[in-house]
Amino acid sequence: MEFITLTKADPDFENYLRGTFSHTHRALPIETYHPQTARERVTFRVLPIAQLDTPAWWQVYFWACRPELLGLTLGPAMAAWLNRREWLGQWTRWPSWFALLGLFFLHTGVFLLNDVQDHMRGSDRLNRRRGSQVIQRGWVTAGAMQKWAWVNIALAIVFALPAFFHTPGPLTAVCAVAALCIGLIIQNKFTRFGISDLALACLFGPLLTVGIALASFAAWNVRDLVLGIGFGALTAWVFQVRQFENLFRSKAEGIRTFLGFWDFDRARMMGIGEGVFLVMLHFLNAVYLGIPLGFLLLLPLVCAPLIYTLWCLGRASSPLSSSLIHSQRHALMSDLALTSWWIAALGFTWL
Amino acid sequence: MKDLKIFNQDDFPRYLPKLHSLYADLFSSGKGFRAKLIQMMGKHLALTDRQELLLAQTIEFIHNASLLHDDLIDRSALRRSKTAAWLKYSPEYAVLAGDYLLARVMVNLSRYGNLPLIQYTAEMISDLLEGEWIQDSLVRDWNVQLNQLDQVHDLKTASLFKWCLRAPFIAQENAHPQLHQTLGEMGTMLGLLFQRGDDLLDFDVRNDEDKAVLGDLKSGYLNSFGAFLSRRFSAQQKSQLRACQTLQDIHALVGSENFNHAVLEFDEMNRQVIDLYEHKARSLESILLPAQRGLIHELIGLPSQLYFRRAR
Repeated sequence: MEFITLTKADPDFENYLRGTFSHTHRALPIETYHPQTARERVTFRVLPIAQLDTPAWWQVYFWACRPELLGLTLGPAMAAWLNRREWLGQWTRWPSWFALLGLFFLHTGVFLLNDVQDHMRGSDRLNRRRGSQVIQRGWVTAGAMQKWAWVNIALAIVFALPAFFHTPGPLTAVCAVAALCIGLIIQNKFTRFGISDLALACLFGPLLTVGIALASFAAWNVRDLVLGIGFGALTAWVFQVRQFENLFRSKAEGIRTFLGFWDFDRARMMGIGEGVFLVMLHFLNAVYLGIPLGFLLLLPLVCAPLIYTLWCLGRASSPLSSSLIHSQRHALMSDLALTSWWIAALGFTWL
Repeated sequence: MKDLKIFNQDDFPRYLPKLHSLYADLFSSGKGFRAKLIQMMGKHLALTDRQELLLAQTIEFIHNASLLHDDLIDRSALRRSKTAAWLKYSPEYAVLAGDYLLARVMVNLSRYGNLPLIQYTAEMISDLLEGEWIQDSLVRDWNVQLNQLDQVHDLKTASLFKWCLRAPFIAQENAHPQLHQTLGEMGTMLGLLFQRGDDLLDFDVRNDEDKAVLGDLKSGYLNSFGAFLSRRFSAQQKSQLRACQTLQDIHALVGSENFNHAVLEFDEMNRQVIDLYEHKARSLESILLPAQRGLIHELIGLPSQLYFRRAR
């Protein structure tokens, strides 16, 4: 077995991480110490590509585009579209469909870039449950994945153009705020105050629903904002619950997350409190948006995965507790359940 | 290897009741593996007798202090086939005797006056305590995964091994960053392999030491092999595992063939860790002085000894 250990100061360090050191071999990172510091040190297992059991490219692409998280982006977009029954006459059919397609490519591009970034930073190398892991398994190099990401982002821009030509001013404003949010997330500077989480909530919430409303109907109103706030808060909570599992490692490795600034018990209580707030928020939003009573009565049932997640968080006795892994899985299910419920409830209002 | 007198009665006040007999019990039965590791390092680094004794005492005192506290926390009745100190004497004496050993470590090290060594030792004790704390919070967590346990063992078990490898160099005021980084990583692996080998004993695998079996499981703790064995278990199988009282119960639950297959898979996984350890040990060649390079050969032999429990 061939191993190579490189430090950040080695000229080949980045080439091995990006996978550009050879055309015939892949370097699988098997051990990382001190990520995101000048002392970073990675040991790679170097294997011939032929020895890797690499699936077909479309399977790799499928896993890399994070299908399990598609509900976080396409769900609110569909709900935002269904939220506009009374404006159907103003529906701009093609820009709207293209915007949805563009959103899919944007989702894929962003998560591919995120995978590359987390691989280069080390967080996906430390926790083998993070990200799609296609780079760490050697199925694709970080360099190739970055190219895929830019192709997807380029496609997203192309498909967004019709909507832009239709509503240039307001959509530019939405994109500018989105760029600001992305900048805040990448910079990771004000994490202590929850600014990154707030930016994430804006990105996956109001900016998404307002953006889709503009792309589809060339206008937006308070209904889009209300819907977006609910989805944004839900997504931010899902990502926070996912942070719990990394809390122990994040502290040890100096990786900054909002929850990492709190002691474990308080962070846990905050996660539970936010979950309870989410249930109330979605109920109030549903009342405001005129969701029929039958659907409102279904809400406690729909919130069952969310309540189970809170139970898992409640019984987590340490940052290494296995119930945190369950809570992570169920947080995503909570999102899917609530998003599906919103789509069904808003769709029902059309009948 | 010469015999080191780790526990010297003159180092502790004679007027404290029961302290000496408690320590005599504690230090008479252990293998003193960590002290031997220090001696092995000392041989190649040409440590003075004083340095060697100081380091060997330090690591054994800390290790034994953790055992005194550990037995009480786990309510273990036996330690090295004898009645545990907290039962034989009292829980209060067991806690105080552990604390006294840690205090003694600080007295000895501060007298020696090597500040980086004092600092590193204090950090190691902090890691050890963090590991204990987290491990206690994982009791009755039947879904805990191997990688999570590894993180605990890195703090609780490996911190001592890292210290054994690094402290002799610190005592000689050798602060070469790459050397310490590599030794730290090797210590992590040694600790992991030692712990995993120890966890196999609990399932009576290569148990030549005749250690009591299923102690971890019965006290509600799923150890690394238990987590590996049950990684694909259903909730029902997990609850059956919880109820197992004997090895026959375990074999009846998983099937002897599956059990043996799991041991082989576990061994294979750990062989990869050993390969990686050897890669790191060989990288020391360029850092160590020619007179010290004999150490590499000795270090390479350690993981098999610790994991497979093979005599040297």
